[in-house]
Amino acid sequence: MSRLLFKDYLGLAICIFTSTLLLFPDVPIWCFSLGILFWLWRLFCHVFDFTIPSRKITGFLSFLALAVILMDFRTLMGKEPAASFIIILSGLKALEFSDDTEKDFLVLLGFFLISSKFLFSYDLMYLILSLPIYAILTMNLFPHEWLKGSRSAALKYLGKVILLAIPMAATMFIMLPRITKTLLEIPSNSRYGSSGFSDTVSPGSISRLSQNNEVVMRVELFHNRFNLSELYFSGLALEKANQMNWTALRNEDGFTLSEAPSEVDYHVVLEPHYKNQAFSLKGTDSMGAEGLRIYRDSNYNFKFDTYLEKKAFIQASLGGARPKVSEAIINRNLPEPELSTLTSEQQTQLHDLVKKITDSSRTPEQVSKAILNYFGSNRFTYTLNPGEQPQLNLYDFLFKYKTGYCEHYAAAMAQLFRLSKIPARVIVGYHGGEFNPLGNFWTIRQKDAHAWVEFINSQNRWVPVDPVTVVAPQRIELGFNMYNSIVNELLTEEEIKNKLNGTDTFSRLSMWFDSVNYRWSTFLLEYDFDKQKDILRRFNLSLGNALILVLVLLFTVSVLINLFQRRGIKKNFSELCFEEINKWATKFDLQKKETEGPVTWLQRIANALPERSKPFLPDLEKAFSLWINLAYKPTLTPADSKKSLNEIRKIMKRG
Amino acid sequence: MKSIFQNVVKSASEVILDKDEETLLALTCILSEGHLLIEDVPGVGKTTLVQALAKLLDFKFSRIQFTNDLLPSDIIGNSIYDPEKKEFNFFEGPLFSHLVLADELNRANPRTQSALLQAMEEFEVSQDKHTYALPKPFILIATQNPKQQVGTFSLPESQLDRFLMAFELNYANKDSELKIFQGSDARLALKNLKTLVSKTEIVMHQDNARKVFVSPLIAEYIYELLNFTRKNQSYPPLSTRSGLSLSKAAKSYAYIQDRDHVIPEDVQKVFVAVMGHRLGLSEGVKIGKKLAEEILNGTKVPV
Repeated sequence: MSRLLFKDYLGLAICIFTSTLLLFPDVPIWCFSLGILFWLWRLFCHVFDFTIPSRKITGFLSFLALAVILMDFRTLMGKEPAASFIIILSGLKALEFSDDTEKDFLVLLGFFLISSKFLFSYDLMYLILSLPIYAILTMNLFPHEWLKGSRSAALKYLGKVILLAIPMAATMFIMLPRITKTLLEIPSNSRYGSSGFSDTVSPGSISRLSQNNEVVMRVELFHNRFNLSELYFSGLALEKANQMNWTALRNEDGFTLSEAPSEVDYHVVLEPHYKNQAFSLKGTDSMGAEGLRIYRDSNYNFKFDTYLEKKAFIQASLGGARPKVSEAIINRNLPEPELSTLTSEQQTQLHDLVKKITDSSRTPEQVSKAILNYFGSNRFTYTLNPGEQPQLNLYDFLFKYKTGYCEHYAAAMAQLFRLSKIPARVIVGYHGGEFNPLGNFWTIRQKDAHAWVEFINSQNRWVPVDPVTVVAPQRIELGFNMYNSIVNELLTEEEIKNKLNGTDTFSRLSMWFDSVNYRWSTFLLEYDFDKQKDILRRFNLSLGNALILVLVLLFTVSVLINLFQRRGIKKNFSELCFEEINKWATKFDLQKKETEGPVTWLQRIANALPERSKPFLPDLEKAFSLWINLAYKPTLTPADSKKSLNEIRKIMKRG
Repeated sequence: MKSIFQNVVKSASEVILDKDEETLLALTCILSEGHLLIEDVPGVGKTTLVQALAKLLDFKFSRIQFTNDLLPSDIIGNSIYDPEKKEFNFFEGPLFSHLVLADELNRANPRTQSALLQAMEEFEVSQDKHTYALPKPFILIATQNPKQQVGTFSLPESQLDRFLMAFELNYANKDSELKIFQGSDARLALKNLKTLVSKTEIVMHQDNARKVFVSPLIAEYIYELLNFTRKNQSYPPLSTRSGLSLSKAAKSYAYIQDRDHVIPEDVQKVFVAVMGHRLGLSEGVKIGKKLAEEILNGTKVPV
């Protein structure tokens, strides 16, 4: 029984274990636990000196795992089942690992593990994590002798391998065509992102997000410069109302496939989320994304045909004027709120207010101004923590509490529009964000979630209006982050100034990393077959030539490795002789047992050699005696040793 | 195998059947100038083997039967006063032979046992103020009853270490035993044995055996074998001296096989005999033999 627990391959063990941990979010929990369990089992065997389970047991377990994965996923294709199987397989391999021969297979599994995480994640973070793992795995493919010796030599060696690994990885990346879609469209078990809006907004439901720092998307604007106060990304239009609660209509009509824009005005890198909304800037007329279908309704609201499972790279263009709104939509957005739950006194008070607003104004635009004026001059306040108040009614908000978050104001304002016989609706999406001057893009987080109002103006077009501009202008001008800092006195004035200029070290550093990461993910998401051809063309290469180049490169590397290897064990001629003979013996499955001496081995071969190979025996005996002389007689000169080695090679070739 | 040793083994096999391997090991021991411990129940041919060897190699042979009342002077010899010359005369004891059979060594009391120590290690004995050199070659072959037998003092560790080799004789196989029952008296056959090698030749062979080459690979193999017991708690750790003994024995074995260099098989052939008693300690050679085989099967032969 062998007690070898990666004794010489500790690095290998750590690599594969780390890769397993990295894949944790992508596989079902049972798969992951099983993988870890095998590792613990192995550790247990090692510590308590138990017998390692035989190959029969591990083989049976791997078949069992395959069957369970098949049952769980209904297929073996695609990323998740493959990752699950590799995790279990590497756990099992670690369990039965006992000698060098299993090492190469384990290294291969390690490559698969780490690559599948890295290439599917689109995150630079994983590149940094993967590089040392790649390097150590590659190192384990090299002859063992190289790794012996001092630790500093090993570190130096590791550095060299990393240096070699980077150009290698780059070549692979440029040459290998990439698949932008998952191999098969399988419902996946993995977690989705947590952004996106549900169909209903009630008072307090958006303010709940104000503590959520998760990134929703990163947006890069090209031609037009936007101020922060103009950055409204609308996600969902809510047209059905019940006082302060607004719901999206389950009306799927009117959606057409949006074509990819001919001229790109801005990019959106959208993180995965659990809804199908595509957030678009005010005035967007088309959106397109590689491998995804985006639909558009007559009012230029965009959505995907499916939940967003991975990062999406969206190109969008801004267009001119909006089309006129159809009669049906106008009628849909007209119904006055149901006020029967209020007392008659409260209803009168509400109607008086509406009368006051409509008396002074004739056009919808004037009504809008009047409502904003009302909010502005009647001590309405803006609060970041209104708490959950799904039962809050219109009257209580307008006359009693007079405080709330954006959704309170949007909901109330849209209702006031409708009471004034003007069609209106609530829009939810994001506003503002954090500008990264180094990468020239905006980072929009969950806490930037916002709600505002759209009403139909006198030209029958939708017009957005944000009541918060009146109640808390700073929220719109500075964005949520700054406003929050000011209101809660988290930062001094100076720190805010530094933050705005991006001059404090930490925020600069994080901005820098974020911008590099952004570039990486856009590059990766954009890198398709056309880009690949582009790059090849730039180097004047056809695809066929490129393939030949790769082959030549691989050949050179293998030759180099071979040369290195020779030099690495040059001193030991006896070992080279042994390897020659052992290679030959492999043909008859008569390799040397580790605890066997040379003469015993020869005896065994002589007894077991098939009849037709018997004539070779005298030659073999000669080779053995040459080897034995080399190994156990007083040291020969290098020249003589070489002669012996060559003679053995000649003999073994004949055999 | 060198023909001369082949002849010795062959002649010995006429007297004591089915013990060729043991004879070979005993020869190896003699060539290494080492002492031999044979552990077995009485009546399996321990004495016959030793007597046959003595005869074949032209050794002066003496046999000491150890009992619990045997005194050191009984084996070393006595100084006796000569009234005529008015001086002490040293009368050599049975130890002054080439081949001494110390029969049932573990029956003797520890004091007598330790009297053998100096003789075994330094090839000389001290009596009063004088030191007397033992004849060359000097080989002590001790027999020992298995520990379970009553009335025995087990040998101390330090004394066990002085023996180069130890083995059991075991019963002969069925065919050989049948032949023994049918055959003529072994003692008669013993008398008919002819001397094959002279004492001087043996000394020469001993010198030559010392010159057999041990390559770095073999040294590494021996190290690995010892190291196996040192890193593994379930074995008594083997000393450097035991490694030296192993190398010495392997050299002699290689010499008998007519080779001027040691190969791993030589080490393997003598390993159990050299290490058995060092591993078994007070548990006996039988247990030690088992441990030694485990070590052999757990150690890679370096290539």
